[in-house]
Amino acid sequence: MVDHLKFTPSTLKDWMRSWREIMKERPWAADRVGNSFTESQLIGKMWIAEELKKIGGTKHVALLGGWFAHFTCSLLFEEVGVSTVTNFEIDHDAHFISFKFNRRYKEEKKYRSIRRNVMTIGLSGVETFEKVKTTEPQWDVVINTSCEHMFPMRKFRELNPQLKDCLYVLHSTDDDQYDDHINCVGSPQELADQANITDIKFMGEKVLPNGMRRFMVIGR
Amino acid sequence: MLNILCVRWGDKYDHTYVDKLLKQVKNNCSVPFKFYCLTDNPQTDYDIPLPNIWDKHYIPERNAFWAYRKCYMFNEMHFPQIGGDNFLYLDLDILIHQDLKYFNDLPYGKPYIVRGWWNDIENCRKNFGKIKSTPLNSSVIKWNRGELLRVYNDIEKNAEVIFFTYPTIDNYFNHAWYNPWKEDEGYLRGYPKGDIYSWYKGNVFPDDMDAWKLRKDHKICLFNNSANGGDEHMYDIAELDHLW
Repeated sequence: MVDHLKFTPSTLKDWMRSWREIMKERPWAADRVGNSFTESQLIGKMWIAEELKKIGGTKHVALLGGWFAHFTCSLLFEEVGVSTVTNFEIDHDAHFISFKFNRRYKEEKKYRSIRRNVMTIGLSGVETFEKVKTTEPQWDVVINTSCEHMFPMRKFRELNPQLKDCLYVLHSTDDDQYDDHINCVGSPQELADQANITDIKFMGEKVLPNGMRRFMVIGR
Repeated sequence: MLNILCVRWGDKYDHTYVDKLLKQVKNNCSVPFKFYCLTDNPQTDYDIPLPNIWDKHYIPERNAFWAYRKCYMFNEMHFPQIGGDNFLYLDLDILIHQDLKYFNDLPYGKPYIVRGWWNDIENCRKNFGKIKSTPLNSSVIKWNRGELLRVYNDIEKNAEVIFFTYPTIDNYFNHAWYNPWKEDEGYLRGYPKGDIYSWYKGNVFPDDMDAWKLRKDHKICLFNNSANGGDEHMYDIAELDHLW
């Protein structure tokens, strides 16, 4: 069971340093980083780790819109045992700040962030961690915990036929009170349908401490 | 020759707005120009029919997409009757204070769009991921033939995603063609401070933010209020009675 985050001295070092650097270099982002450090955020990400651990076999993760990716990376590396995480982010601040929070993984060449709108440009041709340009699939799992912020995932799958065999892990919500929740769904089944996922390994919902109902679908 | 374009569709603005814009242009443009209105309801010599090929992407329940119609003009091949290479687009709800020659004389090579200097750029950066608080405004755009074709092609290629994701084109421009962190590096560049200001939002953050104030030493005043849900017409503004 994944019910905690492994908080090591190196985690502490990276995260404290990140906060200091954010306040100094990108103070406007501090509020949003604060919003990412909530009980609900952590519980949502632990849920993914728990289910991925049960399924097993996750090695190379493409993280779509992974934001600052602090909890997610820590859980994926330390609990699930993944080998690499590539975060695709459109937001400049999130892109750079995610490197700060994950400095220890970045230095081990296990974490990177790439700025890209994944709904208009496919991932084929992205360089490997070894800087080799390839059209071969580099990932076995695609995680998107921000589906409510994006166009339905069917578009991503259309753009990336090379990732058709990947395991998809998707989060969304029916909470449409926020302007940037442009793609809420009413159920986990609707989330699966949006992504054309038919081989479902997990499907469920959870009400987080902030009152938001989250849906999760894992499948192909 | 400078091509001055405006776009009118639907019934938000009647044809008198176009007439008034043309009158302002005639009074404030010392370089040779041709005036065109791209419209879904051609009535006069300067009207040109607006394409409708993107209408199939219209999503009524989101009421998105409408503003994208102005992006047809980025593909000049839709309008073979328009010659020349220099283009200046003007929204219908603007007040021109000074000679438009200024815009014609700005260097070409990279398109210009309104940089809303009334915006706090740190707030724009903060809200970038939330698809709001864009620093851009598309009320006045200047370009050379072909320079905006790549923008048109991007919209054409990704219409479904773009119309769904960005209810306003200014947020799309900000995400895809501008860089609010390094403002000199985006494909679009903003007009300098002191050129264009907003009637409703002010001029330059944080020092000159008075709204409802005319600044005649500037080139153009915008009456952009749709983002705030406002529906006031320029006809309703008493200060404009003798100016517009």
